[in-house]
Amino acid sequence: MKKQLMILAAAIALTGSAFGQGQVTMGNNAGSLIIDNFGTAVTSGSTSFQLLAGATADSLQAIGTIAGVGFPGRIANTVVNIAGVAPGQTAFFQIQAWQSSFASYAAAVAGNGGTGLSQVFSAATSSAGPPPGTPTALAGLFPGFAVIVPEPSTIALGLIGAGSLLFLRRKK
Amino acid sequence: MRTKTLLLTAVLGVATAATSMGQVFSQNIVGYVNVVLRPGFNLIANPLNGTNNGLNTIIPNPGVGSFVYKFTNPGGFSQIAENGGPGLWDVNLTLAPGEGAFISVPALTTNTFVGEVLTGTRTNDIPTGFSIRSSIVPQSGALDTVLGFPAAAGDFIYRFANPGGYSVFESGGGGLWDPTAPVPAVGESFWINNPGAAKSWVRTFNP
Repeated sequence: MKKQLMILAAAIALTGSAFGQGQVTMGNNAGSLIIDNFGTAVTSGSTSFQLLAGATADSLQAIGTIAGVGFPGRIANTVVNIAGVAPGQTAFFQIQAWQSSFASYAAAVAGNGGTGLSQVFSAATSSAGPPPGTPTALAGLFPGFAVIVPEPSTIALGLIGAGSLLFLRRKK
Repeated sequence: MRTKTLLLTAVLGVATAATSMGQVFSQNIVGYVNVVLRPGFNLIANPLNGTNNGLNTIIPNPGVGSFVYKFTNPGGFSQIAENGGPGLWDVNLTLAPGEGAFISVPALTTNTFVGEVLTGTRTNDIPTGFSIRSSIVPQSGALDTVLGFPAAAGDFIYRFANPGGYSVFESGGGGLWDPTAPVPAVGESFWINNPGAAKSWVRTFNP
């Protein structure tokens, strides 16, 4: 009987947590624009964004859908449910950015595409209510950052270095 | 929120005064709007001007245990009413056209708003910061170009769907929106976050 009650309590807690998630709006503002190598605001279709979030700064993981560019230099505002963080609780965030020609941040890094990362920051998620509070705006909580495409010379130097190492290894 | 709009236009044509020159007539457009309320929270508006716009008359029977939450700025959700039965709210809050509120209901139900369409020039005050507002006129359309909302760069609109939760819209000014202009339904209210000075949403409606 006691076991059944505990299972029931756990089930209720799980159901509650599934519906009771803190919400945020991933976005930035005119004071924190996302720029490219040349200092130009990124434009629609050029850049993708993924929110990383977690209850602690060292438990960040990708959450929510990938967003594009809204207004120039601006992340398209996207409401994201923060799993594992109750409404009103503080969560930690970081935003990944990469060239949209790649499927993900990791793919862009692997393919020498343009990538950028915001600093890690924290914010309280939407209020617990009732009624449900509006999603906490992340705009203004982190400075703008650049989506950097590795310079061709950097890539070339890397290739020369790798080639030299191979050559020396063969010679030995 | 699924809104079924069945606006019945009836001209009452009531003679109001008789003068030596003849009779003067007034015309009112009256009708009703059905608004579906889903279990849990709904962000609603009163689309028609009722006799007193009190909850006891405009939302008389949402189900025992329903709650209405009105937001004021400043003040927050300081006005709350609970329904104890048909036509029986513990606080008979008013909900006038142009305002908005959350209502939580225990089960699926449809509320029929009855009243008159407000015509002429009407003003909806938009404070700095957050407010819950709706169209004064029972009409659906793009918030700025159809409903006449004075959108400025940096204005945020939050719509709430049940199920689905919030969706967010940001004005870039000059008719630009991220992602698109919001199109609230009749009987739906929405959050406005106005970062600028208080402003007026003026609507002139003369059908």
